[in-house]
Amino acid sequence: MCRKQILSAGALVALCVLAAFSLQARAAGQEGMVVVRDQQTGKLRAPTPEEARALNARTPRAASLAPRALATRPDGARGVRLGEKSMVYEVVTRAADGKLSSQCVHGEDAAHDALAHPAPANHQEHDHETR
Amino acid sequence: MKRADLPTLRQRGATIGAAIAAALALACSAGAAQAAATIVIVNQNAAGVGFNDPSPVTPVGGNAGTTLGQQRLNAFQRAADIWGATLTSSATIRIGASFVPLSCTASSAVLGSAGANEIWADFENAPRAGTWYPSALASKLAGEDVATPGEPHIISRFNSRLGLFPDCLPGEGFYLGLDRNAGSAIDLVTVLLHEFAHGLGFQTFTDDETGQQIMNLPSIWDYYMLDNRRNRSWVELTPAERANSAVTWRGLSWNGPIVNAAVPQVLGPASTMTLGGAAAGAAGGVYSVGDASFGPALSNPPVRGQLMPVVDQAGGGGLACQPLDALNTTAVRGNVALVDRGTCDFTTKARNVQAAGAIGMVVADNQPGDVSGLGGADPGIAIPAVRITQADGATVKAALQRRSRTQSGVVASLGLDTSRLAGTDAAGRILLYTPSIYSPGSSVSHYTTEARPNQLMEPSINADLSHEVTPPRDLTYPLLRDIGW
Repeated sequence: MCRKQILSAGALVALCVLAAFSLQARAAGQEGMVVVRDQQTGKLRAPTPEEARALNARTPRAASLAPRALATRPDGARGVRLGEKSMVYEVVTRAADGKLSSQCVHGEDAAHDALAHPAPANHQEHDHETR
Repeated sequence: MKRADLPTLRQRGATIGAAIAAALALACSAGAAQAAATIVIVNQNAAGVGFNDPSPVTPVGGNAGTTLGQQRLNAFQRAADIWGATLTSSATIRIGASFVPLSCTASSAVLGSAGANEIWADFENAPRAGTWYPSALASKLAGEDVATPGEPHIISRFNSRLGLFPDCLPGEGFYLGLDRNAGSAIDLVTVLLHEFAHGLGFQTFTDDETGQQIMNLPSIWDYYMLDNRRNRSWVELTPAERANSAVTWRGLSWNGPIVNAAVPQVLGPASTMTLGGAAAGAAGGVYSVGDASFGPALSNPPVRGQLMPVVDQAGGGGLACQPLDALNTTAVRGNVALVDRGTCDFTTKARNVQAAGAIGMVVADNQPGDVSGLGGADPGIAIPAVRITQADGATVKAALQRRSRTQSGVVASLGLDTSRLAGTDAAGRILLYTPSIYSPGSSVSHYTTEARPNQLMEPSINADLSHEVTPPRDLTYPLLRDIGW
């Protein structure tokens, strides 16, 4: 039986509670720790990669990721806290031949998309694309 | 540590200490770049992880750190030192930095992320009213720290698991040396220089997918980003026009006086392929090409010869992934070989046609898209090679249908267009990155991939980059000067 099957829906709910803290903490610049409860032993342990990915997909994004207007100052200065949604992400992918290619994308969603779907070859620079 | 809890920072060598509730971040050492601007790396990692990872490592490439954490910090400091020596500001620039687990798989990973933490408009001495500036630049222009007290000007996070775990691109991770000798690994200092530049202001805060501005105010960037078809800057366009220009191939140029003046100093002539000859017909003319990272660079006088296709596939295509047979060898000997992209490395194709006696190689793309280059390395390749688009390849092949075994009547010249610099528009302004095929998250806040030599602020980190951010090698600092640095 594969790990995905082992990870039941009920277990996921429990895991999300545990993971939500860590993911939001990470968004605020803090180091987080994700743990899962092993169904067979009942003990906490580090998540498998499949479990971690499942948790990532199910955990609501922290509100702090969105840009937030700051209070206008007495001198009229206006500010916005951009948060992580506006950051640029450097994503690297290893092709089947072992060569690495990178791309710089805008926004967290694009970074996740780039992980799953590397940019078409014609979007990458020639020093990385070798075939 | 929550950013709001960041303590007041001192200059070089400052040590930040903070006691935050159980198991969250400890503030650690910070360093500052000596020069015209002081840049402080604010270590936001908890004890034992990230910058504080005690795992022993061997000093590498001029990085004398003996723990993983110290080497990471040294690399950050080197990038901060380079920018600190380049910029001028009376306000200390704070970069909140941490190594944390970021998304990754066995074959891909988020290396890191960075950007401005806050943007400000209508602060004291703001050059333009109603315009967003990144907080580091706003602070320089105001002559005082504009950022919210305790907030960093730039935030950056890098992947602490990269290369160290089976599910996070195992194998070579970041190269932490300072000597640009990364080989096939990822040079962290180069990545940091790129990411810090975004945080310093090498980015628009206007959404380039929708064209919407934040609170209906333009970014300082938008005054200089020109839709070169409409001849209007982004501040003069509607949201729909902005969004459209962001996906128009070669449609956006940087139109700042300092970059414009530096472009001829930095960029080389554009490579081209010119087709002529009695049989060229409608295919005759000048073609945009992608350069190869192997073999000799194109030069003038051009390499000139009959363009002859390799044919080694049932459908008439030619991959040249194996040594050429007698017929193909006869065709390409002394001529320029036309091959199709696919199946094997570009260098393999080049080796095979070179061995058959070809004097140059043209690779036709096998998928739609814009002009791109040929990667790879092979010191044994002595003939020039270029790449053309799939569409151009079809045009060229149509002209080659009637040919003898040794001649096509179509003459290819591979050389330089001295009237145009690589990566510039018709007016000589450097282009920004606007791929015509939609790519989620592709950002106009990059230079074009057609620039030659490769620029730090292209959307990919290229192996041939130096750690320079100024002319005559690089155009990053000139752009930052255009927006006010």
